[in-house]
Amino acid sequence: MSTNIKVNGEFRSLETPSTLREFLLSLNLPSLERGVAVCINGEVVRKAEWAQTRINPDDELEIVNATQGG
Amino acid sequence: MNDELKIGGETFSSRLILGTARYPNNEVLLQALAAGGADMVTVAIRRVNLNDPTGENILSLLRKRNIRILPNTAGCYTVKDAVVTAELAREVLETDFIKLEVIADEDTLYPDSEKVLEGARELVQKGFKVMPYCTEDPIVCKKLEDLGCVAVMPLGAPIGSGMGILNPYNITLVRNAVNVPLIVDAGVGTASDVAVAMELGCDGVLLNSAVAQAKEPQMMAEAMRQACEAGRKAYLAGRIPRKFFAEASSPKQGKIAV
Repeated sequence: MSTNIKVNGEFRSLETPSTLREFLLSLNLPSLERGVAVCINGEVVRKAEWAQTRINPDDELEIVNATQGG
Repeated sequence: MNDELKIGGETFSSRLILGTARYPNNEVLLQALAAGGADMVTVAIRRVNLNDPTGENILSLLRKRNIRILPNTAGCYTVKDAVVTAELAREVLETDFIKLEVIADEDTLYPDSEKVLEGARELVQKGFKVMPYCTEDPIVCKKLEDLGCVAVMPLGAPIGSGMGILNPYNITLVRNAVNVPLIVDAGVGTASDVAVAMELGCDGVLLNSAVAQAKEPQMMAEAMRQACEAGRKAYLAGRIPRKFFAEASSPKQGKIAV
């Protein structure tokens, strides 16, 4: 059974259960180790916890980085 | 003369803090940052574009140049958004510094003082070095200092308006009210605005659009740096008091009579 989640405001479906780290790796981001942060349901998940954090149905993820700002 | 700026235990050689937004491209941005001599620049925290995650990351550009980075909570209307954004920024950038913005209204982008105070309290408790964007109200600024903010950053005029220091009297009141660094943030339109802020005794100026949107951003950045230095020196040198009537500078004695 697939897991429906929301990532950066868009619905996605995970075919297999996944940790946060596995999911992030699947996104092929260029700089995963540095410069990316994640919160799930409004709670920041620190990098050290990515590998132990399971993604649950209906989780809402925000994946952010730094961009030009004033 | 040793005239370094210290904020939150860190020392800055420049009193100009530059934003990184609204430049024509990254090359112009880097040229302007170099010409402005800022050793701290601001960035925003935004969603990664998951459809095209390969775009050039501003972080790698800035890290190559060893510029300190001050993340902001721009665009936040609630304390919760601002606090979560600050926590995400700390993860992204490995810094405790945060420019706290909680705005009230899209037309003015004015700080919502009640929420800025609430957000500052929460972030200070979480160990952040909070630099709040706030109104030029000495009472609010004093309260922010008392909460433990490492600086106060009142606006000169609304963000991006380029109208300069609209209320120099209030900036002076804030200067007298707080001991933490006072940085005018927002409203600068041209170099003289920076000089005015510094002559009023501000410790620094944070600006973005005035450089990024100038016809020649690099040249304007250099002008801002010079204005910042000139204004600072004039403040330290001590200006003469204003008088209502003229006072001749040439001697009154020894004038000819024909």
